[in-house]
Amino acid sequence: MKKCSLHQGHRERIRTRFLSYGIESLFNHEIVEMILFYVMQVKNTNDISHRLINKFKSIDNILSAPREELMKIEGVGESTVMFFKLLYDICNDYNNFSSIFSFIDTIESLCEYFQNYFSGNSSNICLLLAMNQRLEVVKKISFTKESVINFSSELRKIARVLLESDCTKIAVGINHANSIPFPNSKDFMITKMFSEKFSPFGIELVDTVIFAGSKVYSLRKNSAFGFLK
Amino acid sequence: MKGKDIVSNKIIDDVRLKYKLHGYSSLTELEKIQLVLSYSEINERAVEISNNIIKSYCNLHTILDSNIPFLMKEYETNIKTITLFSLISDIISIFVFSPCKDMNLNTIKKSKKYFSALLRKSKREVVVVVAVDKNFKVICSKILSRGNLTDVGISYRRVAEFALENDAQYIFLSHCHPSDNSNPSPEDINVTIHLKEALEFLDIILIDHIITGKDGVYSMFEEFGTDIFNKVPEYKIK
Repeated sequence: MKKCSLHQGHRERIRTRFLSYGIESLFNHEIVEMILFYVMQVKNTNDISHRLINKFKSIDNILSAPREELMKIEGVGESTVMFFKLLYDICNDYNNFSSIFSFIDTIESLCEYFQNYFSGNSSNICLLLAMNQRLEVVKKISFTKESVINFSSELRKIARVLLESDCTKIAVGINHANSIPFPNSKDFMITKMFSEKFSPFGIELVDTVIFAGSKVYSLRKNSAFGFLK
Repeated sequence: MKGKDIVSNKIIDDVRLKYKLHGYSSLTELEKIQLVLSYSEINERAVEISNNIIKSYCNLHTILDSNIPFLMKEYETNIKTITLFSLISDIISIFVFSPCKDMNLNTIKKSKKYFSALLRKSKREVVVVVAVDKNFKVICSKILSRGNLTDVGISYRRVAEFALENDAQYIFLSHCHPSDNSNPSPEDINVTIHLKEALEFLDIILIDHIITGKDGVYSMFEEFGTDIFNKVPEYKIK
């Protein structure tokens, strides 16, 4: 019981320091310890964290290390490896998804962007790109057609994100996966919705791009935006 | 075990199995949130909180970019959850900045990427100066002040001391507008001009002034070029 409360006191001190002063107030091994707290409820995480830092040198190296290498560290088991992998996947996903360094100034670059995003993806998802006045991508939001068409709350959530990001232009990419790259009635409905709902707030829909297999169809390039007038 | 517990346990078990077998990209946004919460809340609460939170937030990224303690208080999470989400958000900053550490800042695009990553987590305005060598590789960086550029007052002396200590001929200035857009104010432009002129005397060149904001990243050199800055042929747009 006493050992348990010693660990608890130690954990609380590290957590308090982190929440009060930020991650900069922690040493690398303490950051690793904080991660281990979530998979090792009653265990001395200090030794394990030191072993991990000594072997891999940095947090990002630990999280991106292969399973086999991590399992060689004494005290690291499957559940720990799985949690490290989850954190790595979240970071990686965020890094790819939230990159603001894509600059989209032509229909071709927009089509290429969606092509890269949807390539190899077989699910019928959509991607909304929010761009600032310098045509840099500032936010990406994935959604399904049905969620936006059937639930006004979904559109409200998207609006909240767009308005907070100060974007002025948006573009929508729709994945038809292995189907044909031509817009259907739902695609036109989505295009009309985004154009009408957001234009009063100064957010202009610049294009809707359909992606199917390796083929791309831009509504603007094919003069299919006329229906909005 | 109550019925609700059984249902929640099954939901979390299914999500974990789906993640294990098919990977992170196979999960819906709701499932991603459920999976993360399962490490800090009991399963029943993890399912309940995630169902509530997804009604207002599109995805996990949006949650991680928000004011986490405030957000989690709204959904009555425990302290472990607040800590976990804050920790993940900070680890993302480490990941985002890691590839930038050894970057040569010889293009506007790279400078924007570097400072955006460096200042990602700043909740308040932070002014930072970075010294680079003749190949535009970062030698050292220093936070000059925390606060508005004109309220706090950037010390030209501290910038000069920093550049001379590190034997740097080239420096970058950067600051962030965490709750505003990245466009410079007239004061931002004045400070840049005066600093550039002050440093010229010491043969130190101010290459660029990068401002990060909610809407992206702004490069003063990209906007004003040699109207404000000295011509440095090695510093390119792309």
